[in-house]
Amino acid sequence: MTEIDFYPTHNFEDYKLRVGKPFPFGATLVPGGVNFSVFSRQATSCTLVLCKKNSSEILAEIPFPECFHVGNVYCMVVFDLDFEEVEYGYRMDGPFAPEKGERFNKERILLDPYAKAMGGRVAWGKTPDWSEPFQYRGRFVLEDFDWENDKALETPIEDLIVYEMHVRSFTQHKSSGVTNPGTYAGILEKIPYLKELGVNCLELMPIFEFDEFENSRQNPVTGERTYNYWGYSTVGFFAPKAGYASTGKFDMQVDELKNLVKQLHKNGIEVILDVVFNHTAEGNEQGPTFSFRGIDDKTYYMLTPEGYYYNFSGCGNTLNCNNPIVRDMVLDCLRYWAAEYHIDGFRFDLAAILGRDQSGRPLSNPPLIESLAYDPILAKCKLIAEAWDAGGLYQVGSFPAYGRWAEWNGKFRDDVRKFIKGEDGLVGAIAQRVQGSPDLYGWNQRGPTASVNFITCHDGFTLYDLVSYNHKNNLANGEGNRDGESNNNSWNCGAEGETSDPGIIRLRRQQIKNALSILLVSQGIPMILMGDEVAGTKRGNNNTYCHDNDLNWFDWTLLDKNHDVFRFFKNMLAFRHAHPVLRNCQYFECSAAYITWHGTKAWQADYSPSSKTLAFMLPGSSAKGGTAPDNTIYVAMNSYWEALAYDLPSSPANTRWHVFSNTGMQPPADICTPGSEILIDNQQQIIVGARSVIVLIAK
Amino acid sequence: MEIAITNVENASIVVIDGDIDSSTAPEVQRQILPIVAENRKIIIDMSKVDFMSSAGLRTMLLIHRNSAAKKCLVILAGVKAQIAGTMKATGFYAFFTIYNNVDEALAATRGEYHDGDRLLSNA
Repeated sequence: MTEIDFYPTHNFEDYKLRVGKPFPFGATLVPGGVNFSVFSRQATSCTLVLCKKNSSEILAEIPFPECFHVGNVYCMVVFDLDFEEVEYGYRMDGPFAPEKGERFNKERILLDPYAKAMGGRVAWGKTPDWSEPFQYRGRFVLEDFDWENDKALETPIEDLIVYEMHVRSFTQHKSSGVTNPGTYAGILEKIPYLKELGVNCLELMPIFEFDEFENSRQNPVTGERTYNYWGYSTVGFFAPKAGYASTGKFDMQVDELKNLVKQLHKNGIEVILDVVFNHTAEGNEQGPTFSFRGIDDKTYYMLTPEGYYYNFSGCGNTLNCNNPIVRDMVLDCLRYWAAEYHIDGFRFDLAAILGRDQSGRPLSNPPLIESLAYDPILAKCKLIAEAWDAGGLYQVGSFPAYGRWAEWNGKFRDDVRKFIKGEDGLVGAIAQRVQGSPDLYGWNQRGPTASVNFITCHDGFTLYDLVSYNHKNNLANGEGNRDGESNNNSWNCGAEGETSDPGIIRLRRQQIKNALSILLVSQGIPMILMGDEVAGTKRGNNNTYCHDNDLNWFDWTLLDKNHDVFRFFKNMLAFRHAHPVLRNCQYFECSAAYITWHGTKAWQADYSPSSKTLAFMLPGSSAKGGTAPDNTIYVAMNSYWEALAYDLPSSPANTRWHVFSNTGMQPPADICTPGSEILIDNQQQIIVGARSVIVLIAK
Repeated sequence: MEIAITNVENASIVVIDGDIDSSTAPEVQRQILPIVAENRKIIIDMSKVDFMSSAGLRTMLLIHRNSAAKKCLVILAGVKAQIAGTMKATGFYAFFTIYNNVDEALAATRGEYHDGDRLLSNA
């Protein structure tokens, strides 16, 4: 039935108009036209600017008639728009008084904060024409993707193995062999690889529209161009990065990304997005004005009393997340991605900022974080916080969780790194980490699923570099090696960087396997960094945010070269999937059967300051609260530089100890496939090699 | 964009010449849906289509869905490589029955091709 109120009431030049619906914000295709709706509290007038696609050629400037102004919202339907050939933006007029948080400039054409697709950067790396007045232009999106029966997978969070991935880096290297390198479609072709590896969740580094040319420059040392490559600087929160789509030049990035999610879901793989709500790409008062600043500076940004930008993000500005308007935008955005793209969860970059009030003070009960936790549409999404910010707020263990939020556990990373390099005094901490960090997350009943365990992530060394470099090697970033973390808890195993010493090479592989073993037998949610499974290197650079080259690209030739590392990863991931006792959602002290602690002597863990040994036994009967009977598992860790004998606790009645993995052995004897574990002759004692981890199961 | 329709044997062959985008897609729909209503097999010759936009793909899918509801076959023939690539990347490809050219499509309507051949010829 045709709606009786859906006809034009106004004309402007050749355009037919009527008052729009204020909700939803953004540009929405409606029968016969497009509904435009945009908020500004302080603008005195607003004009819709329509451009010819792929250019800044203006087709029309349609002022919103005063009767289309509802509260602080400008809303209008434009009929008969050829929506595939047109891009749009707004001019906002109003006062320019920075000290009051008003920076209107009607000369600028502004990107709609709710734009669902963006023109201006549709092909990755194509040098922009900076003389164009309108760099980022809104586009219209058909929201009728055929999902068939797909929905978010809702995998229990404790069963996830997360793989942190950069979309372009995964397949851009020529060795990837895919049809469309560096794109969403490229990932599609590598789904069989991901399945073989055994990950069931991709955490994609930022895919919201960003500008790879932000702060782009020539590296003074190498002459190479550097980019805003990782993309932690959002231009448009509702728009997928078109430059990551093989079909971006045909406007099909939305469908390409949705198809990727759909196909990953078909293969049991969830998708978590790394979202950056702490700042925008507009920077401080010296940065460009392309959207938020020109629409409502005071609403979107945290400003000092003098009208300057607070910089809790370290990137020039701070999004004013607990302003009610901005809070709604963040909610609308995540709901959109969850409902429209079937996204399974979100990881929030510098999430501590989300808990600051409008003048930057940390809130005890932050409305945004609470709203996200209780939102009906996000109810089944994973919510993961990077629980710190660049302004010094560090909330690992204390992030307001509302029973929902998990955290990147930075302490897990630091403690495991120190332990495997053989530092003193770590045994007590490691006992906490392998249980899912009850010292951090036990006090408010959060449980091990609050802890995303990781040893490496995009920030910092790769796992191979962690065992190959004592010092960061960031000269290629063009900042005189001053950027990036200097305290990495890394150890090069005897030589800095590449070496031909077979003993060092062997030890490095062993250390990689030690790290992975501890990660995968720990309670909590393990996350591995793309490329670590083939011992990928960034040549000691621990901050490769700006490189569109093989420092970041996954080198697929390593799959052959380092096949033993891949095999170890694959089998260790399979082992975790096979054993629910590794994936509890309650701490062991809450269950009938306890985790027990051992050392070189059974039942006697050595917590003395110089101890480098720890073993533990997980009772199979306690798996998932006793609901999923499992084998009992025993793990022995030795970070001492000599082999040690470990007395074994008795295996449960009618079972005997079998070895699943032993990092001290040379491949292929270092690991087997789950189910083919090998009975050990001596059931009373094992030798744990120097710097080794052994995993036994009782069966 | 121009559309020519000829009837052969038990099928209609629709030759589309030109781009299918938001400005031409309504015309494609207007001309093809009546054939669907006649319950004829439809072979759409895409060999003269260089570009198919998001709206174009959706129109083709709409035609396909309408025909499937009537258990009436719609075949795309001679889809250019770039369009096929776009369709694969965005998931549209899997919805359609696609042959290399009109002759193969005609043979298929006579039952001379099996589904496996289609997959082989478009792999």
